[in-house]
Amino acid sequence: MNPVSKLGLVLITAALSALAGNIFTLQGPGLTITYSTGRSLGPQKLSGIYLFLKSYEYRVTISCDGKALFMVLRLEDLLSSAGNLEEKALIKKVVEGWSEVSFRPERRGAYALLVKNLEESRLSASFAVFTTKVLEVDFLMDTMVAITIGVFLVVIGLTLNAVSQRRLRK
Amino acid sequence: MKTLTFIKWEFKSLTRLRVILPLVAFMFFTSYLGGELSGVVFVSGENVRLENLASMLGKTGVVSIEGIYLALAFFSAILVPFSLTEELNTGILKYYLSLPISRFKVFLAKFLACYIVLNLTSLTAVYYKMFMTDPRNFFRFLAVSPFYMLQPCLMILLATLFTFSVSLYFSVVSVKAWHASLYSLFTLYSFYTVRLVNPRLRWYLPPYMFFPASTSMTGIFYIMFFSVFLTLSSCYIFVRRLEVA
Repeated sequence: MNPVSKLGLVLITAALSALAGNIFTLQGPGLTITYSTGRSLGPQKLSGIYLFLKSYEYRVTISCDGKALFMVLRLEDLLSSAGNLEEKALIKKVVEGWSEVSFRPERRGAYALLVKNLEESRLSASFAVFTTKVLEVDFLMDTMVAITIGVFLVVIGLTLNAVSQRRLRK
Repeated sequence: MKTLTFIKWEFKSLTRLRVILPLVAFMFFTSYLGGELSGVVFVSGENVRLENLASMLGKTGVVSIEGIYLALAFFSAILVPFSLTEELNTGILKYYLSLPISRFKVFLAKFLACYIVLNLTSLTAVYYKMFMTDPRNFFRFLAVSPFYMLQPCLMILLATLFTFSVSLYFSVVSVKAWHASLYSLFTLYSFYTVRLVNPRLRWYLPPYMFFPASTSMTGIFYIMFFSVFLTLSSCYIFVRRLEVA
């Protein structure tokens, strides 16, 4: 087996093992994250958290003592928003008192969970994120891409081997 | 024969072993068993602190060390005795030493070849996990905060050096390869099982002491000193004391 085929085989093994590890971690309990602004959120101000989300199912319960806007944004959307956060938000919900939002990100990555005060006075808001672990479809797809590249490398390596052997026979 | 040629030769002979694919599989699988990071970055306003996110991603890699420690211990205990003690028993080492090359260079070549193989697989496994945590922004974080992103690399180099030095020492003092493997495994696993006996002690022993957030630099210095001391002792025994019949 030539080095190209070996590299392909290593890539396939690595991708499959990582997928197995990823599936194995589904056994553990889902994370719960809580966040509170206290009394510090001024009028039209934003507050929240950044975190790395996977393509699990998330349920967020939001409570506030006024009118607030809850938003979920991708990091890259946030960086390119130029002040128009509400347009770029994947999830946005106006909350008065208590509300609940469920979502499942299409791709894993860095996300921002933000609360915006819509009142003209100070406001207190809090939210809790509950995670339900499910099979990460995007991870599975990425693994398939890696495996395809691996298979491609193995095939190329074997073809090169066959060609060189044919030349030697001639 | 030049040292570099000998290192290449050793490296190739290691990669030809059938242990490489299981090594890769074990490393990639166990990198996910170190636990998930539950951290968040608190923000106020629209200013995004990418360094904090990069730090979190770096910690994801460091946490993986707990998972890959067992794989490191296991494969150090297989690769190093195979490269040293087994070759001593089969007579291949005698052939090497008959070549116009010093014992130190033979030791150096074997040391570097095994160390590179172990490090390459563990680093690839950990950085693959980090990359897969956020494929879209991975390189952005790397550009913004290379220190945090390279922190797992330093910790893995240290963790590998530790497991590797223990196996190396037992390889040069043991008569048979399986003896060396057994002693290394027993020693390295005993550190790991201490946490079951007394969880408080775990922060002073590998693999937990490699976590920069939980330990002081003094602990890391001690483990590095211990690893370098064991490696130099092994080198001395190999060069000066080892009898090749």
